[in-house]
Parts: sequence; C-alpha cells; structure tokens
Amino acid sequence: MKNQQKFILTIVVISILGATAVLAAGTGLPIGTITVSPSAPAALSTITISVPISGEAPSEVRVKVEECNGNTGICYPDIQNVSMPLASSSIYRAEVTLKHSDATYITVTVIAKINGAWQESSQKKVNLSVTPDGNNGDDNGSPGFELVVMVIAIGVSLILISRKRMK
Amino acid sequence: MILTIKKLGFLFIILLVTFLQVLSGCTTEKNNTGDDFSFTTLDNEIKRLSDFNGKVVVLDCMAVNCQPCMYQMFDLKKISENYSSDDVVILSIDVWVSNGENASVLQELIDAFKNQANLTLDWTFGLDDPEGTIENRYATEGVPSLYIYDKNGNIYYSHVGYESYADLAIKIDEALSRN
Repeated sequence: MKNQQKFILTIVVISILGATAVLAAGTGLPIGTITVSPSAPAALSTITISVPISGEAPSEVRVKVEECNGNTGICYPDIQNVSMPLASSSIYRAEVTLKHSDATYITVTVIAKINGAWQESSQKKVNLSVTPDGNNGDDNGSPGFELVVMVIAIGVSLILISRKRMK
Repeated sequence: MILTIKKLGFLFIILLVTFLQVLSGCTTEKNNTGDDFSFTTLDNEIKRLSDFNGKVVVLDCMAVNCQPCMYQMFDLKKISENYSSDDVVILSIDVWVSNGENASVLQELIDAFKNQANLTLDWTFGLDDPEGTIENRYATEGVPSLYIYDKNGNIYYSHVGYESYADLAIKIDEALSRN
C-alpha cells in the first residue's frame, strides 16, 4: 500500500515538475535532448554533458547540475552553473565534476541565451551508480558501529589483562 | 602491579576520550537561534517571523528545482488540513533565489500542484532575498530544511531533508504543548 502511494506520488511529482519545466521553457524549444556520459556515473566522478541546439546560434549556453540524495531527501545548495562551449556543429558540451559523495541522483538543466532571452531546457534526472558495498563509496567521515565495538573490546581486554596480572 | 593497572586505566581513559571526540565531530550542529527574519510573500508583502508569534510556525526552506521539496508539499498539506491556522502556521520560503528562482517560478509550481494534483497549497509562500540571507542562516546543508518554532518564536525542532507528516506532527504537538 505504501509503495503504491509512493508510486502515485512520484507520478504526480514528475507531472508537476514536467508542467513547470514546460511553462519555464515556453513553446518551440530549440534546446534538444541532453546527453550525460557515462549514463550512470558514480558520485564524485567527472561527467560530460552534451546538448544540440537548433535554429539561431545562442550567444551563451550554460548547464546547471544539481546533486540530491534520494535516501535522505536532500538537494544540495551548491548547484554547479558551468559554461557549455560549442564542441561541434550545433552541439554544446561541458565537463562537470560531481561534488557530493552521498548524492544518489543529479538533475541537469541547460539554459541558452537566444536573441537576448534565456531559454531553459526540461530537467534531466540521472541516477548515480552505487558501488558494490551499496553506499555510493561514501563513508561521510563518521565512525561506524565497528569503531564502538573496537573501543569496547580494547577496554575489556585491558581490564582482563590487568586482572590476570594481579593474580 | 598497581602501577601497571593505573597505566592501563589511563590508556583506556585516553582511548575513550579520543573516541568521544571523534564521535562528537560527527554530529551535525543545528542552528538553534530563533532570530527574527523577513521574507517577501508572493503578494509582494514583507513579512517577519515575529509576525506569527503566539502560533507554532513550521518553516519550510525549499526550492522549486528540488524533487524532495515536492514530496514535502504533500505532508505540509496534511498539516494545513489537520491543524487550525490559529494554532499552526506554515511558511514555505524559496531559498534558492541566488540560484535563479523567482516569484513567477514559485507561482508556477503552486499552479502546477493545483492543476496536476488538484492540491491547493493554501499557506504562506515567500522568497528569500537575492543575497540568500535565509538560505545562509537556515538552509546551508540543503533543501528542504524544516524548522518548527514554538509560540515564543524559539526553534523547537529542525531537520534537514524530507520529513514525513507523522514525524512532523509529533513535533508540532510537542511544540503546541509548550508554553
């Protein structure tokens, strides 16, 4: 039941995000489909973002990359806003290095200044790959349960050794 | 022999202190100041947190380009439905103005909820200033960042990231029971 509710909520949220993106973009969008390489990048890796832009050449193209953690439900505030130079005919490309070790997905938006007005693409969501230990390679610097066990074990060992020596 | 025991005991205390120091470094320091702040509503009014003194305030530092913030709206809607506005006030403030978000984008989001999900977000929405004053004070770790203020304007509870209605309701009830 909970999964079903979550699924319905996801559909609704996607349609809301889609609606806002369409409203932001307006009609006759010249910004094509955004491609992210690799398709399932790892956290902290460097990704290549490409996009075709048709029609009038834009005076400036930028890409915004936002990192989020789907497990904790956080999107990080340090959105990267990077210039996308023209790589080949009508293809704009940029490399971005991801910043957050615990991010589980990114959203990519391209903005282009065409005829003096900024136009925005729809948002592309890319899930980040998870390392075999299942935690995106992240240990966020916090000691785990094993450290607690280790300290207790050292303490107990010291007490046992001291008691044995007393005997 | 007694000296050895003392040495071992001393070593253990050092290890314990080191461990506690490491552990304390992992805790996230929360902003516990209940300082007043101002924001601009979608009607272009300047409001202050202190305007809502006498009520429990749920401050939702959010952004339009934030998927978890969208999920949070459904839980905030439940709060708006289940608590009287005489007791509990919700303030959703877009804190990503410095990232290019503005009043029209925020209004489009509210309209999209109404049109796509038949959900009227009937509480106060506002915007941070372009310098990101509220963001820098309350949402440095990310969005959504949620704060519950008691009736005296003091922060009773804070949480970074999505929070369910059930968990928020517990904290709201506790804040309501405080004098």
